[in-house]
Amino acid sequence: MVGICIAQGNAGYIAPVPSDEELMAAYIAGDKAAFRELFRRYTPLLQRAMARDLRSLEEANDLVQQTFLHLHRSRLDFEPGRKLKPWIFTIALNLKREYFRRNKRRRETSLEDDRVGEPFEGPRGQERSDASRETARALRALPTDQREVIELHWFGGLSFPEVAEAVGSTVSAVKVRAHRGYVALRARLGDGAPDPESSHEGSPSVAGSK
Amino acid sequence: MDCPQIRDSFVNGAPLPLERVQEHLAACPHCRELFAREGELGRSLGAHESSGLPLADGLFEQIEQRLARETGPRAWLRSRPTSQRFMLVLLPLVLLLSAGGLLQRRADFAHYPLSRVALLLCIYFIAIVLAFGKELSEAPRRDAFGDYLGLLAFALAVPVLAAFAPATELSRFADSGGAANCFRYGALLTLPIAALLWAIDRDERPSMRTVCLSAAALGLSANLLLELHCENGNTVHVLLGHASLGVAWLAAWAATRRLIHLRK
Repeated sequence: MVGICIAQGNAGYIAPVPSDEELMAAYIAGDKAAFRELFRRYTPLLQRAMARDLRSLEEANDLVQQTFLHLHRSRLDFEPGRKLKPWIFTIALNLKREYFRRNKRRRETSLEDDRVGEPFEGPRGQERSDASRETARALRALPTDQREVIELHWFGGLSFPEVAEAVGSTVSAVKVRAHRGYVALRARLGDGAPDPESSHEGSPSVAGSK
Repeated sequence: MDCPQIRDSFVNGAPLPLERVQEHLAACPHCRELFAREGELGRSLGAHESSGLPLADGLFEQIEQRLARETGPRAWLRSRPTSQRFMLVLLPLVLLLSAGGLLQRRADFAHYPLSRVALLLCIYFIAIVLAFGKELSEAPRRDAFGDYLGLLAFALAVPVLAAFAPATELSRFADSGGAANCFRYGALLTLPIAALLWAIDRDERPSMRTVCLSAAALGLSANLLLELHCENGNTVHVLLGHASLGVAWLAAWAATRRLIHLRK
């Protein structure tokens, strides 16, 4: 992974930041500090992924804990050369689906809905809060398969091949789902009706903040 | 940089050098329009994600505590690679089948066409392997029917269909007696497999998926073992003594799941 470097010690030695996969390999070899670093990297991502659908932070945290517990139990299944991020998200998504099967149905509102109602800091806080709430509602209205792909791609930071691996589908199917989701989102967010002529043009992931 | 490259980057989420994108957009009205429209959506999504959640205090410590409890034989079994867990759970069945086939094979097998016997045993065995494989797999789990309910329905239906299949003269006129013995025999033989399945399951709380796939695998295993030993082809006997084992395992797993959920 290309990333920032950390200065270590007094000799000015600069060590590259280990990739997720290197950390996982270290954890399998018994390095507990590697697990702590993986936890630090993935908890915010997983917590947000859970919170988008759950009503309480406690439930979201419980699923995050279960994800790491499952990661620990299945650590020997992790093969060298495999990407860690889609694997962790596969575990998390499986747990989340099971949670909703157990609790019968998806809730109408989520922790995110409450959270986006809180004022943001800064002069454009209210504006961003409104936009965020509207986006949350528009996302919630999407079919699960489309929403899942968009959330993993945008908020989980997974590439389309990684999204495909995480949801157990093909890259082309994932792109189609994302595109349909974006068209529906655009329509719901009042950004004009979908343009059939540009239907082959795919997702907007490079645009905006990505 | 051309239009397809710009479109591909939208689709693949690959970042492009800003200067080159701007250069292209200045010259291409179509991409400019596309970028402006998609950019609006991008900003909406970006704004939605920019707010974070507060991290719970002590979350890592709680996970560490849970991990500290991961000791003992069950934790060791659960942490084996999936291929090993699969072999582990299949091994007792293969041993029972081999031992049973050698020691106490049905006397009337010779009266059936070999193809029929082979086909039946193959159907059972493939379905069992599928059920074990699905249950232990870490692959993404899809909709409930495609994931496990279809296989459960198949596992419950096959022994029922077998009860109505034409039997030999010898077994057709057998009475329905001995069904309880067959039930006990089938349940006893599959009990070690059930214990192993429970031990190697990685879920914190048994899911309905685990319940259904385990019941499917155990019900089929019991019926396959009985198929090798019991020559009573009486429909009532097969329904009560053999086919009911799948339902019994389903009820047993569901009750266990309920108890565990209540305790947690």
